[in-house]
Amino acid sequence: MIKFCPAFIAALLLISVALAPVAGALTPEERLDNPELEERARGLSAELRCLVCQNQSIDDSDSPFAQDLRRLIRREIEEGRTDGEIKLFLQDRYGDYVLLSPPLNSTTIALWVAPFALLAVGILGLALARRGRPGPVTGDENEMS
Amino acid sequence: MNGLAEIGHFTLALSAGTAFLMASIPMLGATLDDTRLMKTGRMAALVLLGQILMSFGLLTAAFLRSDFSVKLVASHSHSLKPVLYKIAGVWGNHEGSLLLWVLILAIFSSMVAISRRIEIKRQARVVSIQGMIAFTFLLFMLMTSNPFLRLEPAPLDGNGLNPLLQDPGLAFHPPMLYLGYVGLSVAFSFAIAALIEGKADKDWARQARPFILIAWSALTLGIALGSWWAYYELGWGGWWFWDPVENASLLPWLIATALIHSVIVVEKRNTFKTWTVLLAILGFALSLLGTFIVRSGLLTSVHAFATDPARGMVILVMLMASIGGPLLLFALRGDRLASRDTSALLSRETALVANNLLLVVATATVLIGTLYPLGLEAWNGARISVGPPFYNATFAPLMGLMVIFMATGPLMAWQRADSRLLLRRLMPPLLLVVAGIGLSILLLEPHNVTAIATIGLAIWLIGGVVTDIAVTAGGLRAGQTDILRRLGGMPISRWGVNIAHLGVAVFILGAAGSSFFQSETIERVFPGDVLRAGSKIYRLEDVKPVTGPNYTSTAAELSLLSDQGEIIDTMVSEIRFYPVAGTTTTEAAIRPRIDGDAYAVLGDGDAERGYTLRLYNKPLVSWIWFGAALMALGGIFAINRPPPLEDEAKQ
Amino acid sequence: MKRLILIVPLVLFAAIAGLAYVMLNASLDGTRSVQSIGFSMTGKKMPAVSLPAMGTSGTIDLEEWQGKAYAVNVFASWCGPCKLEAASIDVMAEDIPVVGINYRDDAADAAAFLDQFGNPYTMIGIDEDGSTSIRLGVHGLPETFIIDSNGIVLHHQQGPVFADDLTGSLGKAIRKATEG
Repeated sequence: MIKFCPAFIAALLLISVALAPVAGALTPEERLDNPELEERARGLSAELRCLVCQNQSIDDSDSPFAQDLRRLIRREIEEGRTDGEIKLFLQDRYGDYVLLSPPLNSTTIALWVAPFALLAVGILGLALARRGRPGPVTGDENEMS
Repeated sequence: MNGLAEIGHFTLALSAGTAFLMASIPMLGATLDDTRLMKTGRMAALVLLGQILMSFGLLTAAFLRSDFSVKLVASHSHSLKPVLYKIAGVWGNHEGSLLLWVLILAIFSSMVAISRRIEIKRQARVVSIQGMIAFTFLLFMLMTSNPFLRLEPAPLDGNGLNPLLQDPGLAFHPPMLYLGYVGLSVAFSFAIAALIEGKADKDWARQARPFILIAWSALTLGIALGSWWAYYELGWGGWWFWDPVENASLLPWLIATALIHSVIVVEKRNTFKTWTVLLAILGFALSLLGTFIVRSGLLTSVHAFATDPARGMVILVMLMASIGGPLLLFALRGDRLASRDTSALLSRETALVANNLLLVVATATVLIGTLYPLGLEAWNGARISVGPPFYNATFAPLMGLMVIFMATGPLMAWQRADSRLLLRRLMPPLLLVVAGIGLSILLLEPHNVTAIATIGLAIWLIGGVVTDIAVTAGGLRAGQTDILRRLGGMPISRWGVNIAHLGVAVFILGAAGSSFFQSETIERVFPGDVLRAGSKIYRLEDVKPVTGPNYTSTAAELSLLSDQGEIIDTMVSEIRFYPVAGTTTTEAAIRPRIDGDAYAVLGDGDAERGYTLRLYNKPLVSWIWFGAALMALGGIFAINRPPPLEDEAKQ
Repeated sequence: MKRLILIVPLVLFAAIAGLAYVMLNASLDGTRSVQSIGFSMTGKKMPAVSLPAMGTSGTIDLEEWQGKAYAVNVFASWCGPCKLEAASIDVMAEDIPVVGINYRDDAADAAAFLDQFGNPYTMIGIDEDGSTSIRLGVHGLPETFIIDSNGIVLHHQQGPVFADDLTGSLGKAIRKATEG
């Protein structure tokens, strides 16, 4: 059970709750006893793809494969491996496809950089287009409608 | 009564002919300046509507009568289906959905064709292009996707009893989306007409705008319906997965949002014309691209559509012609529309430019995220996944930036905004944000920076909306009767803007509440056990077998308890087995309450080992769909009829 | 400059359409399947795992096969394609020793499967809950690995082994492993 707090039921927005990702398929028996490690496992599960499903994470999927992977990462976490090591372990066996967040490498750099690059290019382009443009004609100003 | 399907097929073929005439004659008339030829557009559009209505009506009749000699009915319907879902079954498949698409196209085309407020030449051209689109779709249907194919011998009953599809949310989700896509096709037609004319003036904007707003509102509702359905039906409480099929509907929505803002500038300031025309073309292009992606089988998706790569190839060719052509036209003639923007850096124009820039970059981000795996695979065979983590890191900040501008835009003047006035007006929202963030840090847990920032953004937006209304009402110093008079005099379209922006803020709060402040409890329990998830107290009362109309299930009855232990509500979560379809579904129990949804899902188990229950408190989750509904409502309120034409331009 | 910008949308659209065309073609002629994950263990070191042995009370350990070429075949009685490939695995076993891994299966059902389709395996490990196979990168049945004497996977096949494979890349890998 994830930690909970005394109720603030009266206050509409101000209910204290604990952070938790959505779990479609986790069973109580799979959970680790240590809540911190369990939370790590949940976070990690949300980042790993269920390879035999149609576009789901192993946290969301019911399939036996997802179950196996969930158990595997919990075992690895209990044995002291870091999130990075576990991801590397899985990448080694299943390829980059198993990661829902694409790795940052020479083939994916275009993907990660694109949004920010496009924004920068857009701002630059608009700024350049603005240069040498006549300003507002007086009389047009402060029109609010 | 047999033979009706053949009539339906025949009418469909006829309508293709009508569409061909509609596509060619009015356009010819516009080129030759022949009023009579141009006026045939009206007749053609109405005839087309009649024919498609007939076809659609006959297909619907076949479904309602459970005529299993029609292949489509046999595949997608069943005699035991309730009437509502028999009707929804008409468009719950590839062929029928295309027919619905064309029907909506015919309706919109008629609306354009009978309008007395569009110049006749422009009207003729717009109707013609609608005709071209209709013809393309009808030809595609007649050649590859005929809804009226017969099945011989006719089976005794149908195949179509997938329980997951028998649902009100899902029944209305496609029609809403198609209203959106077809509405965008009208904007598309207006854009091409402008390119041909070499003109996109204020009148053009006012004539196109209602269609754009209807399209946008419908798309908003359609996407929201799909998301809501996923939430209550799929049993794990998620509502957006960045799945390729979902992205396919989000892309046109983002462009449509940019478009509704851009077209305002055309209307008010007579600039941004080239850009607006491009957006209109892109909006429809993305609608078609989306349709193509989800039916071609190129990408893995949780949305199981009947995918067929061969058909996908035909759609692709259609796409290349119907989008490539206009984009070429744009490249050749787009500069004729160019106009001069003389606005200062601090002006409403700039705020709208920022809005458009951020929306377009967001669109590009989602498009790149969706297609990158495909591109990389084509390049070197490697397969990667681009999932929620990518979009959370890129899309979310872009939208956050946009929200900042959303509050300031309405408070700025056109051309040049007074910076001191603006700062004065932004004070109240700013103070509200500071107060809100402070309160959030004090009272809410966990102290997640993203969560607090998101709440701050929503408050900023609400503050902006309230300030805008206050400014219209005359400010703090105005007298009471003055305020009421001013508010009453505020045009409905202005209210529309504020309601829509408010809807966005409500949506953001709903998303933040349910994403960051959710409580979850997963346990194996026995009847009588009490569990807490956040502020919700659940007690499992009983687990027993249940027989439904077409299913058997194991049902867990739960009670929601108050702090004092009194029962305040009851809920039932089931695991259902549908024997005819052979599928098992999980029905979550949901009770919306003021402090958040109570959400309970039964897992596996039995009387000996106990039953797995997943229990949640999801704060503000219904605000997600309530916010979307507000947005759509605001969009509808914002519709203004175009002005009547001057006498010379009248027919 | 302004005119050049106007052509950008068309160019971008053409690129996307081109990509879609290329990938659709691959789907149509079968060279691309949306189901495959596009990755295999080929070229990587075979993880050393151990499993309880079927039939005896001991364990089997892939460590034992150090310095020897061998194959691993993951199968189960409930797996349809496994039945289809049984004959090919028999043929394969003539050229290279095959270690079987019985995945998430019932002992009686597995025994019946071997009775019916033959037992080509030098030894069989039981992976009752699938937790070991997952360390080998298995995600669907059947899967077959060809490993050389250095412990490197020369060929990793996802999906059933057919006669063509024995003369194709799988066969080549077997030859390389056993001769190299």
